[in-house]
Amino acid sequence: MKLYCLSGEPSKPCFILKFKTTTIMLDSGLDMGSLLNFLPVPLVHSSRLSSLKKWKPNDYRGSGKIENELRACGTNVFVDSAPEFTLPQLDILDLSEVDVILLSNSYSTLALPYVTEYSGFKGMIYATEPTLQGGRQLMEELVHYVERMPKGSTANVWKNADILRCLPAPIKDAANPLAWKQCYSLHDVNSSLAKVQMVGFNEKLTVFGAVTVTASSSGYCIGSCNWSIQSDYEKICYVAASSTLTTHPQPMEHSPLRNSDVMIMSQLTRTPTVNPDAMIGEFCMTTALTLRNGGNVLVPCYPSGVTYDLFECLSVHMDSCGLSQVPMFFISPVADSSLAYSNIFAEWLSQGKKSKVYLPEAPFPHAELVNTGRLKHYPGIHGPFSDEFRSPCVMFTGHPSLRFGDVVHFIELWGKSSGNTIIFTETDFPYLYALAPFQPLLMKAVHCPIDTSLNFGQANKLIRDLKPRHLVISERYSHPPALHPHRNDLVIETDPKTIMYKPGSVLNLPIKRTYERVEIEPELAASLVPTEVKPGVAVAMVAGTLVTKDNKHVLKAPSDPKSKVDGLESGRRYYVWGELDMQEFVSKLAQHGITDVKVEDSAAGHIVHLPSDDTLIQIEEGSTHIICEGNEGLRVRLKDILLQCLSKL
Amino acid sequence: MSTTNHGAATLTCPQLLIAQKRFLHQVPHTSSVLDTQVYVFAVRLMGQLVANYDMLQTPEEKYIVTACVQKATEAEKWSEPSIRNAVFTLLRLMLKYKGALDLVIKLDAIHLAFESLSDPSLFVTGSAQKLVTKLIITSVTDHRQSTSEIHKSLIKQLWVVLRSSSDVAKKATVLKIFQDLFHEISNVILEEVNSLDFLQLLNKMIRCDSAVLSREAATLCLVYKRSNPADSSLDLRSEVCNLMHSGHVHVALNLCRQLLLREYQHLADGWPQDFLRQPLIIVCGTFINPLESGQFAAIAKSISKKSACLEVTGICLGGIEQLLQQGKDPCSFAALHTLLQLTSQECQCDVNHSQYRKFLLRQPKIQKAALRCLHQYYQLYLNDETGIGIPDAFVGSAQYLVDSLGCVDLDVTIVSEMLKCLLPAIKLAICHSLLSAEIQMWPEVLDLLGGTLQKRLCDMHWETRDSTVEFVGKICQSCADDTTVNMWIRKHNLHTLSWECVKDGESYVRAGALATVGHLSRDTTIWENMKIVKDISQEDVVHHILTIISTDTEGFARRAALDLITRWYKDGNQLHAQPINDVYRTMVAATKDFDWEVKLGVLTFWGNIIDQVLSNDTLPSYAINLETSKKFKGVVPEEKEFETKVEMLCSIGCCQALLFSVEDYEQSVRKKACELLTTLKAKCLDNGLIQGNSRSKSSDPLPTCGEINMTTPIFLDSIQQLDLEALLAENSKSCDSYENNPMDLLDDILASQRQDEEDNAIDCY
Repeated sequence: MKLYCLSGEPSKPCFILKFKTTTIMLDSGLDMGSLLNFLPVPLVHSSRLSSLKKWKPNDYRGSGKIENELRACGTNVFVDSAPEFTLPQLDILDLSEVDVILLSNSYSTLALPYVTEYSGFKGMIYATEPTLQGGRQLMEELVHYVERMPKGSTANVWKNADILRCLPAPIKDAANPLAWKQCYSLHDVNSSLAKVQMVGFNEKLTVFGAVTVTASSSGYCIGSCNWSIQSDYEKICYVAASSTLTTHPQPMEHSPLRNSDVMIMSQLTRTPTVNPDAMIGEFCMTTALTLRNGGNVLVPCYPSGVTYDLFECLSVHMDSCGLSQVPMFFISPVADSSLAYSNIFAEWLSQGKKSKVYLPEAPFPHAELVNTGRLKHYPGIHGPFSDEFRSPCVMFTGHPSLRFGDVVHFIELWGKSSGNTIIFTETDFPYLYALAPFQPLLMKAVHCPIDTSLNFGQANKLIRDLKPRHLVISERYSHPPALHPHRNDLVIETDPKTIMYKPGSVLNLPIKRTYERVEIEPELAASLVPTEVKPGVAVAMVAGTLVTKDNKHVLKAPSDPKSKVDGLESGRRYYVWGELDMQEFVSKLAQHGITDVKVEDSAAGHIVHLPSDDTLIQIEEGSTHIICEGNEGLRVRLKDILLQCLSKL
Repeated sequence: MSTTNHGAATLTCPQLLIAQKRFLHQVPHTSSVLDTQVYVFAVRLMGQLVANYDMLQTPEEKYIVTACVQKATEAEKWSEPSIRNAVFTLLRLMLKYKGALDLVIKLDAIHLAFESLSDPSLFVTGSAQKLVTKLIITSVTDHRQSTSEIHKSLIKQLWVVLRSSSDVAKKATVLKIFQDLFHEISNVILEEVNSLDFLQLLNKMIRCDSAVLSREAATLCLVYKRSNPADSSLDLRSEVCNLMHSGHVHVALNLCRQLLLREYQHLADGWPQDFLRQPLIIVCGTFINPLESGQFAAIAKSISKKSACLEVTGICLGGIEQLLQQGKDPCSFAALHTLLQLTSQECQCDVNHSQYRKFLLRQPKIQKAALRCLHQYYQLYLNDETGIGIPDAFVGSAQYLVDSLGCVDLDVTIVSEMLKCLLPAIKLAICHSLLSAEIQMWPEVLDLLGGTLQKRLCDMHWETRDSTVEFVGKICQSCADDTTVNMWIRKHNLHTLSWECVKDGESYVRAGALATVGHLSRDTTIWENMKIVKDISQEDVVHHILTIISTDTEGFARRAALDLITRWYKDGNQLHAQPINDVYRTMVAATKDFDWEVKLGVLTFWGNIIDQVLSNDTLPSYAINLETSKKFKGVVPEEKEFETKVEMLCSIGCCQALLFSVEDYEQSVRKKACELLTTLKAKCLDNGLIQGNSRSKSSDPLPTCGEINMTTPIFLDSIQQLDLEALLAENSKSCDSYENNPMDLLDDILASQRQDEEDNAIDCY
């Protein structure tokens, strides 16, 4: 059993598990950290961005034309090109061999088109319906943002190792930029997602009959799940982004994950030192403070997930502070479908939200906010938005990387006033680096990271509860984060049974497969004559033909009775078993005319002495010896008498 | 029969006494139809009667009392705690009359009282305890042969309970009885109980597991010592030391804390302070004036577990607060500062290594107690006139407060305590000229505080927003004269954000913000800057506040807005050239408010207007735009001046509102309106606008508020019609008058027995 770790970022996982005869991909996360090395793509021409100074290394003597590829903003250098993404290491193995892809949440689907398209992939993809729809929205938004303002050229010269090492940090530390890929197309997205088969929580799905996979709620976002992969005698659990906090999704289920042979754990929080509740409070306070001072609030966000909670908490707080009249805008190409879908996924929501459906009310308050006009959503800043826009307001829009999307426009618009505030809640991008190309920026930047996935304390508690035999984690989780080197509490407690992986690792999972389940055909089963060897245990001899098909093993009656193995019918071989009853043995000997018998107890059993025949029989547990001085006839007689006294099978 | 919530009543008028007796006589004979509440009422009524009138004078009266009490003590009714409470109270009150002791014994009340010493109801326990105490004292003072020995038997019974009962609650109550008795009959008790035995028993109980019992026993020790200062067998200091050595540190410290109370202060010579501050010194690791090593070790050992550490530290802080309130400095400011750091999550300093940090971290009770002490310290230094200066740790403590205040998930009560502390801290800093830029840290502290206050004014919890906006108001009220504070308020937009809080969704915050706006408006620099920054005029401000008075859903906010407008008027020129007619219109409308306190506030407003209009020779600034004021500007003959003023009061709706309020359903509103009208009427009489003793016979109803534009003749005619003296007398009666004259109430109760008149019953509230 092997585990291939394809992703370099534990929060964007991608694994391949080879288990029995199947090849299973676990998640398909896309690391978008590379985006921060690129210049933002504004919606309307930005003279500031276009007038940024071109940059090239002082001692560059190479042949490639680098002049138009890099631009400097302050001390940072950015690539002026279409944005590119870091893919999982998909070249480690042949993707056409992947039988099935299991997706845990919509954020771990973003590399899917790179896996399924143009790769020869012909397997199945399993995901819950909200994961599918959420993933689709994220991908569509991404494609829309990237394709809306296409960059004319693609920069590749700067990736040359000679140039790369001359670049300033952090761009010079970019990992393998040659492997970065441009964004997929909407066609690829549709083609890839068309292969997804929707599953429900706790629905058992067999993969070629070899293993059964089951999704159970992980409590992280709508429809997010953990997976258990089970054969008849082995169980592997994959714990992806999970949350034990009470937010809008269905709570995390623990029982399906208990007592596994191996548990693979990923996607722990990236902000282990902050409490999400406190950060929501900080977010609401900062928003209210900015609005009361007459400023606007910009929230770079994804179109789903925590954004729903932000709508809910912020609207309540704004009411409480007497700011009900301040509008909230939500701008995303998928804003409409995101808001609509979230309210029809009642079965995937927490009990509190689910019960609202029976009132009947919309599970999320944003439906009411939309109805009353407090939350206004638009696909983009053009069109009806410009008629409704008024200031001050709260603006939720993408993309959190600040490299494309409507957020770029609003930073350009509001960045010159210190009365406005940009609040970062998403944790995918370091906010200071995200803001780097917009410097100098007067608007206030506030960091309120809200990551509801498991923190280290919760993860350790979960591991103690679930009791896996072996735990697989990223080696990053085994030591404190770089920013908090002395916080020894911010690690996963490891033991000898913990297996750690690095990006690109191939792990041999220590599962020794011992048994396999075989079914017996009814006809053959009916012919068996079981013998009870001890209370509750019966044994029968069986001979048949083992047929293996679709990873199922069936024992059938032999097709040709004459060819029965070992001549079990005619010269049937018996197996004797049981303990010899000395009384019965002596009486049988008497029946056969041997009456001069002396029985002695020995340390290992009994010694039967036949003085008249000058013969000794040593009877011990598991062996009998007849010492009869070469009298073969007597030995055979004695052997037959002894066998008569034993049970037969 | 029904009861009301007027409570029991007494009277001395013979006619009414008969009525009461008639009622009480009926009570025992209608047991089947009366519910328990009627019995409670009857017994309480009897108690009220007994308080002023000897009910044991005649056999008939004695019968009423006996019958009522006997009926009340029947099993079904006796199970009701309010019955038991009422009966014990009645019997205690009765004991001042001759023959009452016999009656109490006859009713077997002593047995009942002893049984109730551990009653589940604290009220019953208290009344039973008082009855037993009174019984013993009465018996001691009663010189008749038949009852003079009762106290001996009772003291013995109490002694038996103390010595042999396993009921902790009962023992604690008995200890309380002894505490009361020692105040009055110490020698009598010691005649019955051997003092040595008594002290030994107390000593044993002080060391028991029950906190209540040990506390009461310790208090009794103090009472004993106060009553018998010469008794050398009880040395309180040794007692405290022994308690510590036997592991009862919390009891010892409680004893020390009690010794700091004013009534026991003479029993100790400063040593309880040393004991009390010791836990704080140990927890904080600062060794100042350590006690003997044995006691030090005993305290250190006792706080080695979390719960004990928290309890002992809590007692210690309570004692320090007590000392500080008495103006004494227990010399542990630095230790207190360290303790606060130990409780704080944000603190990253040396205290992290303290072994007690894990116990004390984010313990709200300890944090609050420590903050209360800190507040007392600041007050102490603020009130200090000797100029001894402030401690070195002062700036650090203020820095701690500001740092901690920034923590997002802080408990709202702790935020409130921190803000309470910060106010005297800033005053202290001003007093000691610490706010200047030369003193390092303070500018940083103030900057950080400004940013934190901004956020707290928008906090998720309305309680925090409320306490923060109040804090800003108080700072402005007391420190805005200081240039640095004034600039700081403006720099951090605390004035504009406070104004924004007037629009908050929570009524308490709105009310708090309005009070703060009042303080802000007193400082011209801040107020004018606020209007410039928010781009609003004074007219906009007034209109917004008037809107709150007219439309706010909560009485708190309406009252606060009204107070603000009233104060502005009283202060003088704030409303110059403002929409004065809108103000008057709003005030006239507010006369009909649902909240009686708002209406009272409106009358206060009108009172100020009347004072200013009638007392000044020239028109007040806010009246210069009125039509009627033109008549006043020197063109009016002198004799006509007063009439013009009254005319003006009528035209702005003041007179109309007063007449409307005279008929308000709320007594206090009616009273206030009567007082104002009486003043006005007296001045009208003095100026000859109306004739004395010539009350008009007109039967016209009083004008309705807001419906007509009242003319001066109509108003003058109306006040002439009104018998204001009678109205004022009627409205000045307090609710006690009903207690003193319960005739109507009794009639109501008796009448309600007749089913056919059920519909006529009037709901009294």
